[in-house]
Amino acid sequence: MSELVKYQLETEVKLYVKNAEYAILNSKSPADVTEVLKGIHGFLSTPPLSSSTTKLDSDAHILSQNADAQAIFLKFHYARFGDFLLKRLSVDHLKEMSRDDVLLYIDGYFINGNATVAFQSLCQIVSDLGYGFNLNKCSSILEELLQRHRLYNIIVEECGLCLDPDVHHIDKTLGKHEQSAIWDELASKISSLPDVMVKKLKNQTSDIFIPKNYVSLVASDIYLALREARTCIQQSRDCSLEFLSRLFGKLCLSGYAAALWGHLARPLSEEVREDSAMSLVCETFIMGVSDRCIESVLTPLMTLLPWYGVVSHFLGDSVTKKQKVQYLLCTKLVFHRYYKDVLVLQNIIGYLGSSQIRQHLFIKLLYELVQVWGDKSSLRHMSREQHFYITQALIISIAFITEQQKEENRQELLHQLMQGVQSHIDSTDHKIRRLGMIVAENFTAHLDPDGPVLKFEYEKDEETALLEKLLKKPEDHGIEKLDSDLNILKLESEPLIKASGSEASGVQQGTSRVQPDLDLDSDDDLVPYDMSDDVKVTKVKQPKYIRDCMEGLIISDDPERVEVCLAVAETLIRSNPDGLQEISVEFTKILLHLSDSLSLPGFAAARLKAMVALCVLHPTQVADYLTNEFYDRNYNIRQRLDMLEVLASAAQELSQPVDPQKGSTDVAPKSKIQELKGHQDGSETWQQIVQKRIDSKTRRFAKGRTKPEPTPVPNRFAPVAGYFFYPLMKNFDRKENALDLLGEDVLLLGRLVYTLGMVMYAAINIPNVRHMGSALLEFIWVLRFHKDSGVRQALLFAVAMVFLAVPAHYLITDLQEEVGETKIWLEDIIDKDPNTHCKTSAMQSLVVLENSIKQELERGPEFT
Amino acid sequence: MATESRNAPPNPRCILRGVGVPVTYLTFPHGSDHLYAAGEDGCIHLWDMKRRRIKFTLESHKQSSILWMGIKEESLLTQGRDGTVKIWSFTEAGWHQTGCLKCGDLGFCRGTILSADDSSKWIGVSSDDYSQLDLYDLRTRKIIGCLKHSGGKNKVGMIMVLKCRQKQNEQASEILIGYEDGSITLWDIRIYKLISEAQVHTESVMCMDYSYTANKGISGSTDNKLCIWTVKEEGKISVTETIQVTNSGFNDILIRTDDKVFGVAGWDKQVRLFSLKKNRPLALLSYHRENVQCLAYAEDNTFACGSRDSLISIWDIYKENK
Repeated sequence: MSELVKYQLETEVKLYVKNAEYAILNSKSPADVTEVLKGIHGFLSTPPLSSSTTKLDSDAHILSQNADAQAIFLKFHYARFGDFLLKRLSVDHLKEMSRDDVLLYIDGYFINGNATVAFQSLCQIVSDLGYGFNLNKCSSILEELLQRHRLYNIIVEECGLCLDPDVHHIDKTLGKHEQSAIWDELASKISSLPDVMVKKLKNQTSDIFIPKNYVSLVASDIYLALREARTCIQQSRDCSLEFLSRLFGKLCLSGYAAALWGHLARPLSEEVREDSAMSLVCETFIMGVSDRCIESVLTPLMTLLPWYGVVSHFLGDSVTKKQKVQYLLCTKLVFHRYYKDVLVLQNIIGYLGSSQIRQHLFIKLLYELVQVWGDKSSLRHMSREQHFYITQALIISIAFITEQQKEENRQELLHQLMQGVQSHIDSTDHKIRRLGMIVAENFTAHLDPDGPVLKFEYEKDEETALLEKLLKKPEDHGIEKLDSDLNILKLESEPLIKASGSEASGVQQGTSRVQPDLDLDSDDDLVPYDMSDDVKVTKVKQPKYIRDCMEGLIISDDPERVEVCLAVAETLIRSNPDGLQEISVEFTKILLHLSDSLSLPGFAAARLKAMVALCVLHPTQVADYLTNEFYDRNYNIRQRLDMLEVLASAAQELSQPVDPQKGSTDVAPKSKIQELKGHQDGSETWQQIVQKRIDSKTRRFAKGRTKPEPTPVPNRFAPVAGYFFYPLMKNFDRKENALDLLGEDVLLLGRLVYTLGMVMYAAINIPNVRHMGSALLEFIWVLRFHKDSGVRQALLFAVAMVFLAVPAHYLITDLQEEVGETKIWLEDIIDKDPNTHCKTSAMQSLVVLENSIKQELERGPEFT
Repeated sequence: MATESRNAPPNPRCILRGVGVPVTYLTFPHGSDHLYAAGEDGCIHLWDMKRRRIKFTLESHKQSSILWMGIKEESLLTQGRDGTVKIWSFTEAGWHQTGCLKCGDLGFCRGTILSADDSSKWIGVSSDDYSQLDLYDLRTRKIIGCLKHSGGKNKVGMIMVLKCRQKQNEQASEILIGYEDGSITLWDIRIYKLISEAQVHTESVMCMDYSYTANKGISGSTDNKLCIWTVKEEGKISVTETIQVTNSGFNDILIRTDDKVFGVAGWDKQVRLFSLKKNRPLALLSYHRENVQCLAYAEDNTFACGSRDSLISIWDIYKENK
């Protein structure tokens, strides 16, 4: 076509459109408008007869059928006229038109026309328009567009996937930058559509724009487009997925990533397994996503892919090509983040470890893991969850180390690992210790199967079971998983049947319940006799005197005797025989030095109970003895820990009020009381009868207390609290041969602080509590930056106990300064401490403090 | 529930002294106020329960402990550890021996009478051969068959206890056998076939009793667990419950004929009573200073315990609940 003819045609179309606009604006009757619209519609609807009919015709109708003219209209006027239509159309125009006409000429204008342009102009107008009829119209047209999967058409067009070259919309003349700007704009329009719509329409937003629905719609369109791209590749046609990548990246960045992958990951991972073309499409498509968005695209993908084997189908070897991906997979997702689901780690490590090309990255990651895992300072500054995550990563890696790699790296890895194990076993947290043991066991067993076998004893629980499970390479159960999903679906439909079934079983239960009742009756006439004599037979007689018991424990050559003595020790002590006071310290000493060489069942508990009983009955002597012995030489950690535990338990028990009647009720025979009552019932005195009549006719407005006032009992802990408390704080900084609280014996220090906290709490309601509180706060102040999290936690516990035990008015008066300092320290911990437990404890302490101060302040005016 | 206050521990009605040696077997004959007691010296004493005196003594097995006694019409069967079962008949002149059967002399297993009526007089006693039970016809004094456990992979060991699975006054067709390895088997004695077996205990079955009417069996071993089991329709033995007892080891178990209670004699010198329906512990009969070796219920539910301390204690416990 010559330039001239083309120019002529352009002018003609332009004129036609102008006329149409004018006609609509000045139309008198709806019929006119319909007529004009019909004309315009001609440009869109009918397929061009033949592009060779270049003969110009003044008749507009024929003009609209001209292919070139149609192209010109689409290119230059479609968008503008669309704008015009949406903005200028009013209710007046539309209500006159028939429904079909509206659907055909107005909705149809957008729906049948160029999807991209229509979508763009609709979005534009929606964001421009205020609330009103036109907005509603726009949104309904948009809805229609989306429902007809025009988004798919947009993607296909923009990516050049469609078969028909005529529809190929991309303007070759546009520069690369311009094109990318247009794509960006379109992508951001698509991704922001739900937000825009909600913002405009508020409550009246159609369901389709609710993110959940919208995302599933977009996901299905993307899925279709990806399949289209695959066909393209299979037919070796040219296409570019750049727009799709941009769109996807943008959507992911807007927070729809998890939902999108939720829809796409399953079907795609099924397809990429069998189809290498699809896998190529996926790889190109994901790698096309810009660096800015790649993180939000990859992270949910890693959590959702069911098996590590699929990962390489999605990512290819891009981890070696793209720096950002490498950083994400090898560093960020492993070291900086943590997930509950182990799938992420399995996917990443499996992906890296399962191919020759990526192996060097795997080994690098493994070394980094070992290093970070074993590093003492990172152990201290990392949260426990993060540490567990890294441990999981290590355990997963074991399965993926090849024989060759084992050969090459054995020495180096084991060397580094053993250092790490060392620092784990030194830790005060038993869970960290256990992690160290597990990793050491499994790593040595796998790396060096011929070498010496490491075997630790540790408690098994869910955590260890989880780690053990990770030792095996995850299996590919893609199809099984699908099946199980189907089962879930089936199950969901079953409850109805089940519900009816349960009714039947309910009836059965009812009948079966009646049965035992009958039994009960017949069985009940057999009244059991007292069976308290049914005791375990032992060869040794139970000691009846405390000194016999002591003797039995000292001469420990007869296991049965020791067992009997130990079992009876607490009851003997509790009966508080005469002369116990003199031997209480001696007895405590014997118990303290008693070791469980016979592995008797319940040994520790019986021993501890006996010691606590001694300490409760004669606190002055025993507590004094224990607190002094704590800092003495020649005790092992176990014994020192026992001392602390005895002190804490005894303090707690002493602080509990004893009901003075409770002791006597055991002895007092009930029959006596009944006898008296029997007397009274038989002969009511005349005074009682009169009193009853008066009572029945008297109306009382207040009855006073309904419950009797609790009888006050002396606090047994008050006079002896000091013996439990001050001596324990005395020598903590003294360094002994066997005891170095500020150095190695972190565990003991933590326990000491914890015990002090317990004693502090036991001292609640004691006059001296203020002084104790300030002493303890001072003690805590010295240790507040202790490097071990266990000690810090104990400190936080102690602080909380101070806040609980010391009355609030002391906290805000006498102890104001100390409390202020402590508060700052607590806030500091909440901000900076790496240990989550410490953080929560600090938070709780602060809340306790705030509460008690607040209550005090509220109550204040009453007293002043 | 009945009153919570529990009765004080029970005391025996009386103690029968005079056996002089550890008591090994007790049985109440039907329809008379007597008690047969057998001792380790091979003598059998007939006690008059009214006068609480020994009526007469029969020296049946010379100086060898008596394992078991059976009363069958006019004849008395005694099984001694000398490897014989002697048959005695009562005449004007007293008891005199009318026959002697051979049985294993190494075992601890008490024999049992298999028939309740006159038509067939069978008894079962463990044989010299390990894990084999011989069945004798009393009239012909001949072995009519034997039940031998092939053992399979593991040897089941000696036969420890026998118990007929029969309705009252009917010919027994099935017999339960407890073995040294802790398994209990059910046999059909008409066709000499094993019906089923179950590994109930880990150690030897020391004692066992079974009530056909309640379809409930109880067995004790050397540990502190009593196993309660039933025989299902197809003959399968399945453990339904275990009772934990304070001390381990059991000598004898006896279910009362009215299926209300059962007694268990333990190695701890105590006898325990449980309700049969709920296996609820009811009473602790603690009197003897040595192990109780045998238990017996009279028709009026008088309970007798014979112990190693040569005493027989008689208890009137849960007697009125007929």
